[in-house]
Amino acid sequence: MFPKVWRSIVTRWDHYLFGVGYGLVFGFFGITALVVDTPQADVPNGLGEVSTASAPTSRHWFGTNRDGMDLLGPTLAAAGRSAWLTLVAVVLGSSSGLAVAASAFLIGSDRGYRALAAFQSGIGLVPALLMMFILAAGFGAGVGATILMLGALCLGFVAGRGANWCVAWEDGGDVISARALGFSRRRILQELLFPRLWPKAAATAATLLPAALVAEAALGFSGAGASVAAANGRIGVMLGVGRETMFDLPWMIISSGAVLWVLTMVLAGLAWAVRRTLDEPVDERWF
Amino acid sequence: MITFLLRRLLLLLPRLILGWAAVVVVIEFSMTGSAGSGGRSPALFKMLATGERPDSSGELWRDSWWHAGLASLEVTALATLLLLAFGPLLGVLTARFRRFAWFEVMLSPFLLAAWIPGFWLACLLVWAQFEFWNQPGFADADAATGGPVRWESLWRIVLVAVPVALPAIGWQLRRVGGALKRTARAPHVRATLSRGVGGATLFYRHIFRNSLEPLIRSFDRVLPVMLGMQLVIEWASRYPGLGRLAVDSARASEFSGLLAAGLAMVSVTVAARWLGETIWAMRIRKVPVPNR
Repeated sequence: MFPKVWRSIVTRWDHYLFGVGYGLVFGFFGITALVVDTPQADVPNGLGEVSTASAPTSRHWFGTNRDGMDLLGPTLAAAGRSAWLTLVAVVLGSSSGLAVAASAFLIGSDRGYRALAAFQSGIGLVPALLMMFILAAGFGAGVGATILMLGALCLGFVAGRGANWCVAWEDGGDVISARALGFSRRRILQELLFPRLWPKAAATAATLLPAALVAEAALGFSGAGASVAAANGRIGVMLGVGRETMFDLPWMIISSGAVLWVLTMVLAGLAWAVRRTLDEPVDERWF
Repeated sequence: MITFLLRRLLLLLPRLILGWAAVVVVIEFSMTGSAGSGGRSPALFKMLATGERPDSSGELWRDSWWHAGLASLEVTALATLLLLAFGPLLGVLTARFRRFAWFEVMLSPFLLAAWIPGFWLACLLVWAQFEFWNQPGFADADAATGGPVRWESLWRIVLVAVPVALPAIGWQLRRVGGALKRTARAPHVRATLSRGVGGATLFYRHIFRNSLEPLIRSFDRVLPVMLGMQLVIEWASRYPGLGRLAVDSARASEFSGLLAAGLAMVSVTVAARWLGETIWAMRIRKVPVPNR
């Protein structure tokens, strides 16, 4: 199974392109996050303060804060931290979800993954952002807690969807034939289901990535769980600070939000391409 | 018909209880964290039911929850109306005219809007309203114009509902378009195409009709995402709804506002899914069974 997976990765050019696309995005933002210092909170601190803030110019593309600090670097660095945090959470959560779905098929028999599918369908009715707020109220919004929260949500989503796919595929002719031929569940999973399961899980994870980024930013923006650990140096916090200074320094919220939006759209575009390649075949135009 | 509806209502109740239980379980789990300071769930329920704790404005907690819920419901209703008006229509048109480049260009703002952070858009609207129209920016600011009070409150609801609805419309559009495309790949559509039927007849008679279930059910799939984002948008616009209650609670690591918002939102999402299923079940009942 694994040689097959590896061969499909190294022989298809589009996989290289995805590697380059994601590598460019995360490489650029990752390096920026490592090089640039953590942005300091810039909130109004009373009358008489000497402000050296300036609006965006050709020299300072994103403007400066009250200390005269250029905002371009800190904004990109904050976006980089958020993007990497989200990537780690989504990769961990989705791979665990894939493992849970496969285990449910392997050891839980039919009832195992049907229960998993029903659980996902039910829990999907609770808004994910609300769950994050509830968890952040108890555990804070620090790096570890955020990764665990986002990862757990991705795990539930991918495991539930994986179980749903297993339910659908089990009615397929190849699986029924394999059962009639006396294949064990492990062999059915290894030879028939997993090669179809992992591309779908990867496509789902790619789609979850921009959504998780927005959720992470929403958490930092609202300051949920701030009494435990602040989500310092992340794009949501920059947006939150921008909201506080919105009428004095509007460029802070405009630039940080625009960076978040562009990053989300780039990730969504890459996710669309991944989905088209791994998940859904390119459809013909009939009508 | 009445028996059918009663049977459907019986299905609604356990789902509501399960949904509420899920919220309570997550809250109980979260309370094990170091910051939990809101007491246990039974205490929270008692607080919400009896309103024994006055909030900072002196209003009873129960009343505060009720007013916030009603205010949020107005936003949800308007956002849902916008979603139902534009999402399915544009989704069907996307699938129908997707071969034309001009249509894809026309739709691109909605596709871009699917990924816009709604809370950022809400902040931009607040800022623009203050900067360009010299109006009070946040939803709880004093009115600056002499217009009728009702119109001002409606305008504030619109300002909150538009950022809530816009990304949801983008999602709905993609979901509806995706459902139609999936049906277009079905064997019966290939068979019809091979018989020489194409264009609008193939689309509306064979693809659209066979996609009605995912189209009807697509609304309740988008709703949880929309409501989650509504929480943050309401807080960002300082709109006095459940979102403000919930986010302020989360900021203070205090769970009563989160419980109130959670129960209300789960009720709405469960009811919406139930409604979609019931409408679909009613449609199936109307399809005549052929005599064999």
